[in-house]
Amino acid sequence: MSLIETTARAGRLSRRTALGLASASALLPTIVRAQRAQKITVWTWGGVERFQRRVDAFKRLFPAEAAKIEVEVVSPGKNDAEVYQAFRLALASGNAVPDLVQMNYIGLPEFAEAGVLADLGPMMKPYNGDLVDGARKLAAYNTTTVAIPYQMKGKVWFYRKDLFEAAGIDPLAVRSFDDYMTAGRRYRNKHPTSFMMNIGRTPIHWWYYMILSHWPETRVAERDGKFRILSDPHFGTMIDWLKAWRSSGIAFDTDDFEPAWQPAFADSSIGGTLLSNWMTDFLPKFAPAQGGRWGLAPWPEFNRNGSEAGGSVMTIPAASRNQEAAFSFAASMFLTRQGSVDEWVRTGTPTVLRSAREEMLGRSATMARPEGLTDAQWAVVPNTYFGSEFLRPVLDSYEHFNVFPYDPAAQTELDIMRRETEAYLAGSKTRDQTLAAMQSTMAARIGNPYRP
Amino acid sequence: MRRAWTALALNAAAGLAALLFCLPFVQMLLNAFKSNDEIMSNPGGVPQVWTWSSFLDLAAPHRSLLRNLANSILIAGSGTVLAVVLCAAAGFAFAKLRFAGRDLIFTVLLVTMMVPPEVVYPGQFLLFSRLGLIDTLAVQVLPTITPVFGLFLVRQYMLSIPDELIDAARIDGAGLFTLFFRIIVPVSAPVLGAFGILHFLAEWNAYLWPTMVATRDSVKPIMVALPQLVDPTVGFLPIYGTIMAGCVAATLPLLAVYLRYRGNYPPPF
Amino acid sequence: MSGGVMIRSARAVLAPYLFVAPFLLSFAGLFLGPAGYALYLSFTRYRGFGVARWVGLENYAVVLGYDAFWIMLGNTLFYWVAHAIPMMALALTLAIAVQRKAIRWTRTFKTLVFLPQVLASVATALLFQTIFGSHYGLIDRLLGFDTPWLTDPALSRWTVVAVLIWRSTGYWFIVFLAGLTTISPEIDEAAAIDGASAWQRLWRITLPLLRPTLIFAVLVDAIVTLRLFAEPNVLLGKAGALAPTAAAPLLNLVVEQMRGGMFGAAAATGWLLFSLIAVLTFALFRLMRERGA
Repeated sequence: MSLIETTARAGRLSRRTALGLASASALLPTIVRAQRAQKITVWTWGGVERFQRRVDAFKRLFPAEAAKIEVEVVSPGKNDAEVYQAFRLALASGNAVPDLVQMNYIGLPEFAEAGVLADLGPMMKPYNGDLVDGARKLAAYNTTTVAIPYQMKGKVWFYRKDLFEAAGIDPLAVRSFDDYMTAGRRYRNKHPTSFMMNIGRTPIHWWYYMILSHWPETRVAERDGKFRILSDPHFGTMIDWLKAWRSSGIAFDTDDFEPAWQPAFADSSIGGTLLSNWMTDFLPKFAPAQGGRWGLAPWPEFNRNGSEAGGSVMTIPAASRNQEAAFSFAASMFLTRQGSVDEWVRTGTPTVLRSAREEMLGRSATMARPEGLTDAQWAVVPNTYFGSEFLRPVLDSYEHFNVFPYDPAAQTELDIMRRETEAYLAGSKTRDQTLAAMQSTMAARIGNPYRP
Repeated sequence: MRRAWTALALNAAAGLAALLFCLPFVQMLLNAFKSNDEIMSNPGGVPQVWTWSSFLDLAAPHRSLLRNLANSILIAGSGTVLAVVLCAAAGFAFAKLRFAGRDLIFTVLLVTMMVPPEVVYPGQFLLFSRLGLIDTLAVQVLPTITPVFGLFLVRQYMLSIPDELIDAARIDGAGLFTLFFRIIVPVSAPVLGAFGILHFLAEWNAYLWPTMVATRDSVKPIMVALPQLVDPTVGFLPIYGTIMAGCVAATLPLLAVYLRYRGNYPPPF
Repeated sequence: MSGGVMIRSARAVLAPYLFVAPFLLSFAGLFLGPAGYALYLSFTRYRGFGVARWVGLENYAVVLGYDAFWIMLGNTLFYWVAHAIPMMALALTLAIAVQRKAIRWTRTFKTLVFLPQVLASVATALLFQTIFGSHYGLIDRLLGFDTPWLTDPALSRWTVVAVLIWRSTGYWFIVFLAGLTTISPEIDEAAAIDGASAWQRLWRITLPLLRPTLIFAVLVDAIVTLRLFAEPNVLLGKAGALAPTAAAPLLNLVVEQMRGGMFGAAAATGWLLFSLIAVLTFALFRLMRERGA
């Protein structure tokens, strides 16, 4: 926020009066102080290191802007849910409110509905035309623009080309759920120590909305607060699938991000995963020796559409005192061609800008090892590891991109779905009991998600 | 003969028990000297390559672990000093001075001991946050400075101080404050010290409240920072080498205190 | 003159308050006030920001009607009973063995058994993660098994129990040892001269005399375990999440609801936990009194 706006807000003066005051006092040292670097606080999750590299890139790419904005990175939690928790708590206190909060789209409706996010409509106007369709969905809640989108999380199937080929499985020929199960059994027959996927006793949270987002008409609750778990058959389908994967023996028995997950990729116990395009960032580090052996495909047709939690966005709290600086930083890094392409080179996150796609594809095809990178480091750059064609299937997945209509209680609803499904997978509840318990627990604990 | 065999069996069983109690410690030490990669392939044995890398990683500039360690010392240290001072003063009054409502107040305090601190967290959180204290060191110290348990310990001990000692001092013209600092505190030193150690340990080990109120790396204590240590390039996945080195670093001071004072630890109740 | 006396006596009346005031005022501000506020919160629906809506007893009804509450309560009670019985027995046995000089190298033994207590609960949980991790943990590697020590609730709850026993035995061992040394040795010796066997002396003399210490130990250990949080969650949580419901202690519900912006329900859950502890405390106190301890 500019000095003038700050003055106006503090003194409840009109903008014009404040402008007059400010220009009248233009020589005052306060103005000089305001010209110095403005400090903004950014919240991310999973440690500050990854975001810190983004800040370093900001200084490198936009030195003029960077001289005016000092960025402090804070990681209030290990995952996005902990960031929402911390954000709620910060809002409760009314101070220590950050200037920029990274969220997955799933976390956004609660805060947008409560009106605690800044309306970015005017600031985003110049950039909207350049956003790809999916990204535009991520920027908005209902009709208001509340977020700077930067990472679309499309649904991508990662598979070991060598192992799938040996088992005679063509991922593109796998269409129905039954096809998928048949492929899984065939894979097991061919590879006694390897599995086509993994799922454990407590399936990781992203399975749920990732599966549900396939059906455009599916939502957890109506606007009037009626829950739809029992009236929409897709919730039943979802838990049936999870149960089938778990009990059929085609899946390695661990959940994503359990300690056994990473080594299981490295020793080829896991030869495939239905996940999202961000896995391109992890897989090379999980299994550095398997460069060139992984292929990417869209999910099979039976659940091809949708996304994982929508995607990642940056939001600006309405209570932030540095909204303009925060937006300026985020826009430079995510909404300009230069920043967005650098983001892709650095992290493997594909650009959300139409104007940057060609450059990204071109650079992907001709990418050479940058100076200062060792062989080992270069080998795990997604472009080297997966081969330069890997962007194609990622962009394809964006063609099927769909954002689930999350409601303000999405996180609690997810907790309840998980809790009941775990009981169903463990065999302590029947299918009907599970769905009924989801619905009744949501009604009792949440009431109406749109009414706090 | 039979006695000797029984003794041998007993000693063997005791030896086995002692081994079970200290083996995980050995495991922790060994793993602290392995690289993060080696722990996955060799979780149990002696390090194939002995390395200080995990300890060096603790001090790496992109980590705040030294700061977290210092925070723990600051939080536990200042909390202990405040708690001991408050309990000593109040314990003295409840034990040796007469004032209206003394016994009633003390009984009420004892009853509140049944309320676990966690029950009050929602209220404390919202009130402290309105005071702008979230994400500070102070908010981690404040809720711990009035332990009724400590007050009780100190008062019980002070009750046993003979009144004659106090009367003698008063006849000599000592004011209450002189009496308190010159007589009561020195005489109560053992209980104050024992309670101080207990309180310090509890604060050093505090986990739940700090996870809720400390979100910035710069104010986190070590016990909150350790479980959150993840691979900097991948994120999310714990790096056990560094974590084990951190556990060693966070345990050594306590171990030193314990070995020094093991004769009078834990304090008698 | 009389003015001086008045000042003196006023000072004498006020002085005690000067000593208690710092504690009492801090206690009122830092504990009693927030406790009262938490009680008020439990009757409202409040996200932490926005407006608080009065809902009467609804939060209590909702929490009591939530099967996760009962599962977590069951887990908490399980953790208490399953660890307290073997742990107390072990601690007592070791204490008696040491006190009767049946074991050599007593000083070293005491130190080794107490050692786990020096390790923080968070560090303990992290350490046991590397020991019990499935596929890649120490035990599975050594035995060549693939055991879901940390992921299958049927098993992982026992893993938590094992960690609790490991950590807490040393503490109560030392406390029991201290209790045993206060029992006058003459009684024991007299009984031995009268021809009582070691077992008889244990059951008829040592244990009855140790009863106050034992009940105190059970009570304190129960209260500590009902407030269990760090061990199961650091040990069983993954990617920063809390332990799964099937192995979660009751405090998880308080924490989860606070983090989920349901401050009213969190406070209500807390007060339900309080009533449980209160009932237990009264029960054990009565037990202590009835047996004439």
